[in-house]
Amino acid sequence: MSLPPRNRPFARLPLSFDAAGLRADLASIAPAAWSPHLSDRVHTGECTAVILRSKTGAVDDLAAWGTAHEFRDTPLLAQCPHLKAAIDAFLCEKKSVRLVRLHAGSSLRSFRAADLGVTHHDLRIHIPIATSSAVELIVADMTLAAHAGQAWHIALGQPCRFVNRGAVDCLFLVIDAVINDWAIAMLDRAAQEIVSESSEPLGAASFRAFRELVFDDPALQARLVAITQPDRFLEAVVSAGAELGFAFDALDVESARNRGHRDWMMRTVAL
Amino acid sequence: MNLHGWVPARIAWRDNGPRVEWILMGAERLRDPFFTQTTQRQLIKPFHQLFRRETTIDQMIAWTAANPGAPLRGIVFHMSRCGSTLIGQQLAALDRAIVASEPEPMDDALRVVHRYPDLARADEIRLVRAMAAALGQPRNGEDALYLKTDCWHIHRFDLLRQAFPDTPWIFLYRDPVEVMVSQQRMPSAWSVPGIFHPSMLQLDPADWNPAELDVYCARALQQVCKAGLRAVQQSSGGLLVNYTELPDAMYGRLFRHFGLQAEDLPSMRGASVKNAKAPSTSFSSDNAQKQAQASERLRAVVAEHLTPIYTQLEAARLAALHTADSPLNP
Repeated sequence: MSLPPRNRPFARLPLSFDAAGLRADLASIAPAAWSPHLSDRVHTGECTAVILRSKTGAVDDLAAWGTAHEFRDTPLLAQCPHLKAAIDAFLCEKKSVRLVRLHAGSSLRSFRAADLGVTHHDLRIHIPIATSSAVELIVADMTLAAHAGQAWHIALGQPCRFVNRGAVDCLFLVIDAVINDWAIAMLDRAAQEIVSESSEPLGAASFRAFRELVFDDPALQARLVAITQPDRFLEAVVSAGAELGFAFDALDVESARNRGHRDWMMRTVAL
Repeated sequence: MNLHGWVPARIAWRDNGPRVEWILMGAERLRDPFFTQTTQRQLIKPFHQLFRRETTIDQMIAWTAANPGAPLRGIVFHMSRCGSTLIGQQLAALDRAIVASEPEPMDDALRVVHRYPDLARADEIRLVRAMAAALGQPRNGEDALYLKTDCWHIHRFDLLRQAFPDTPWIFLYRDPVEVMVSQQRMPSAWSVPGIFHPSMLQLDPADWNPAELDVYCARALQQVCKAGLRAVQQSSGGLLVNYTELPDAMYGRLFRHFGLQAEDLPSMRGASVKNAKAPSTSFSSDNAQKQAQASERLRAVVAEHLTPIYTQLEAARLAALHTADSPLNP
């Protein structure tokens, strides 16, 4: 019996699309149709979205939760044939479908959607439409090697954050779908046939190098350990890093802190 | 590498092998009843979520070779719930003493062999010595380290004796009715089948009858006591001590045994009037109370599994006391 893993934090899927075609559809979307998105997660800059399928059928209805029969296409979708073809390539029921734009120089803080995922019969697919090497999709502390036109499944029970350090906006098509046999077969195929490449996030690598310097600097250790207020401590770490020429930001530190906390809490105390 | 002020908190089992995880403790002393209480209190500071440090075991061995730390002046083995924490707190009251009370990283070190059964004894000795030296780093000018082990560590007695052949040690025990009453009231993790590997307690999985948790606990305690008796019969440098001798034994026969000095007395006396596990309340011997709480069932279990070994321990202890008191053994 060979059972493929079904709880991976992320996976590149065995479907890909013509990114130029998908981008061509953007011309039919009026600039005014984009509305603020994920505003409580925006750390710096701006994030906007248009909705291609929503509960009310309106292009600004961002509600993603509910059962599949509650969702219907918005009028925009009919004007976007390439996007529609990409969505239809997934042979399962769709819930919310949207285009998300992470503006140049913007970042989103870490987030977990604990009630979405394979075990909850939900599948969230990200298809980069416009992206660059300055964009990082960080899932479970790894940066996905996600290129335009690829499709990635992100199990959103995992901590997930996006960074766009570039000078141009990046765009994703995000599809929430309901798991069915076809979807399970696709995920299993992905697990068996596709290497989902990922790497250490830039900020994490930078913070790791900074940490080694701290370990060699008792005076800096003493200064930082004395700060017990969490926000002030975070600021002090970021500014100590900046003084020494490191490029990590508060989100990178938060992510390292969360990992450190989790690692300690999850330690095995018995054999 | 500079590990001054850093204390090992555990051994982490990483994909690339075991790593010693250290936390910055600075001058913070290990004064709580248990090592983990001090480390957990430290870990509230946000610094420790970001800046815990990992070294290989070899790096710890190299660091402690260059920085040997305070010598290990005493080991307290015990059968649990028998006053070992009181002894620990009496010693911890001394400014010149570091007391590692059931330190998690030493437990980890003593368990490495479970994950690496082919670990050579010589390497295990090096690991255990280095862990003691890391715990015994003087951060406030201390000159002595005392180790209070977890109760199942008496099963690692041979290893610890080999690692520290000159260190005096004791095996502390108590009327098993009182120990079992305490375990029934608040069970130790090891006394619950399935949390600990039975081999750690020298038990066989077949020893577990789910309908008789008290028997499992009694058999584990029996093995601990047997190992304590065997240790004192087969090895030197050790004393058997009964809970009934506390706290005064610390000012009597344990005083010289643990290399204590006259100026240590006032601080120790202060600690001995407190309840060791809850230092804000006072210590009082609770023999009578515990005896009164023992059910008939508990007494039967104790009589079957623990009274014989307890009687043997008492005989050996009293014989040793008698010999020590004789004019031929000043």
